[in-house]
Amino acid sequence: MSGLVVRMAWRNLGRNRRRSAITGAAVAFALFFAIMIRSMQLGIYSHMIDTVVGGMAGYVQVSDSAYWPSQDIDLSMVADKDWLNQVNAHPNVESASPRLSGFGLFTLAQHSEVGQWVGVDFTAEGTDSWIQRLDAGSYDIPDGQEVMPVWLGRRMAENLNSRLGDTLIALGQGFRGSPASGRLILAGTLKLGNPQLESRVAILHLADAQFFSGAEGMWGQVLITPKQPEKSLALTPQLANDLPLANALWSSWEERMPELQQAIEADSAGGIVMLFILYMVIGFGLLGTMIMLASERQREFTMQIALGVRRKLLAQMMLLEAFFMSLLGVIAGAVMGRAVTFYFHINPPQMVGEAAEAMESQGWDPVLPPSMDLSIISTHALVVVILTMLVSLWAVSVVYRSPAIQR
Amino acid sequence: MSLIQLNDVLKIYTSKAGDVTAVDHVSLSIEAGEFTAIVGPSGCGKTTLLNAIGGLDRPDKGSIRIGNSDITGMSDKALIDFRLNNIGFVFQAYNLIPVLTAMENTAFIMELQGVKKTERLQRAMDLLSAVGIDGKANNRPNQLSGGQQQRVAVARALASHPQFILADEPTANLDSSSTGQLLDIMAKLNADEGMTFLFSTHDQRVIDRARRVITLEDGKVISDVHV
Repeated sequence: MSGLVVRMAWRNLGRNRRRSAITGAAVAFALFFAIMIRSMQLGIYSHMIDTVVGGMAGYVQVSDSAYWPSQDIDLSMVADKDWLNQVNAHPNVESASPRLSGFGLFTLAQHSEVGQWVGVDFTAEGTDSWIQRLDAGSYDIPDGQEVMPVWLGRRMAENLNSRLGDTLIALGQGFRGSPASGRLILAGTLKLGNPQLESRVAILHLADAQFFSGAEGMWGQVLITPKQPEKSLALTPQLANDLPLANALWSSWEERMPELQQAIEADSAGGIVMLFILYMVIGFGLLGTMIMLASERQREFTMQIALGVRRKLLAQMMLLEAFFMSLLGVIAGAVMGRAVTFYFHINPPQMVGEAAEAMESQGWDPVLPPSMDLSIISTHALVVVILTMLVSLWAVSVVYRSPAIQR
Repeated sequence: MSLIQLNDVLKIYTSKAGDVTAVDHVSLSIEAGEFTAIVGPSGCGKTTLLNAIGGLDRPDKGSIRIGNSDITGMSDKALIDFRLNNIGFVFQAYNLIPVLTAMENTAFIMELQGVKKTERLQRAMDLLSAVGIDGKANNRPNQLSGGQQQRVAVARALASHPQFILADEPTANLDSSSTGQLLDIMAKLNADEGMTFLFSTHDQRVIDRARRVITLEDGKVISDVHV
């Protein structure tokens, strides 16, 4: 492509500045809205996966082969610390930690709530992530006290009308017929990023949980966070192969929580339909501009062909002009989109009222943290550029249909 | 050998109102160095004949030879290249490229031919000097008068070292003064450099300067006078 083509294509943008500006603005706003819609969507999914999967269920989980789906405490597995050390040393594993869980009734005065108690090894899981989840209270309570500390999901704590320092009675089924009962002192409340979890989860020290349920030396499951969590589905069989454990079931979160995966896919598909409609509207607008532009230039095409300009060169010039126009729009749209998503990343919008209730009813935290994934911008910028180039094929067709004379 | 040789050229346009014979079995020879005007009333076929000679339109019958090349059988792509390298065009409406300066418009054809930058800029400036408009080299067409634009168009037509220049009603949009200046320039190029000019025109001032006048009527040559 010669410098002549580039020069003429660029200068052609200035021939009708208002039209170029409007077209560029259409491209910019299309990209801006696409970035906003997709960043919000993917941000919510990421937030949900991080909180529900990363924080509570684990990207990859190892349990006794019969543990799922009943999660019966009797089907817990014998703790194997050597094997756990091997898991933590695996190059694809970020961290691995054991848990033990069961179900029970939690009572405070006149209030009772059914919930899931979960024994957590805070040290193995990293205290930072748990500190971030702390809504009130603290973790600075020594392990193995006569009265066991408990950290409740903040909604569960509200439902029990409890305050820090209150003593709760917990009652449930323990390991192999032993009762799981005891007094628990409320040491803190947790924000878990998921309304359903916050309404039913009670966190204990792992050792306390084992003692409380009579399951000393047992683990319900081991949670593994891969170094690339987004590849957990593909990584799970590889880890199972590399780290064999007798009678163990390895499962990724997508396998254990298909309803979450399906909800995300369904919602994502809805978003893609919205984007498709947006692109259709913008595409037809761009097509109208391109038809007008080509019609205005037809006499010029004819004259240039008469002078000896090859149609291929004119077609290149039109494509390049459309590319420049879309590029300017893409740059503006990407800058706007990035700036606004960054602002909302720092200050995530909190839904209120019915919208918040609707989200909560689906188990989603009513907060909208946008994704800052740059691939969202690059993907949709590419879509917009391709759309513009496709539309500009109209002008190319006019070039190839132009005769060498005006009749 | 003649520079341009037309043998029994026939061009018929078909429309709903019926067939119109625009060029009716015309045979002509144009020699190198001629300064020829094709004249006649509106609709007599002047422009159609010029378009056929310039390879812009194909005759339905007959043949057209430019030098050693029979252009009637050429493909569209070959004709484009042939026009680029052999024919200069001057149009009634100037048809300069609006986003290029006078200098760039003149150098445009040479850039398509692959002439090196320094060479084409030098030649473009020489040509603009020759047509007396070198002071406006960096002006765009919308900053030039009609006469100035047509002079740039002549410079552009000369830029590719064509075998001849076809000028379709070149003075139709010009005032008297600009017409005189343009004709002086073209006559000088013809006299000094032997450039062949073939005009279609209604303009008596052009006809008066031509050394050969071919008159068409209803697509037929009714007179061919060497002055």
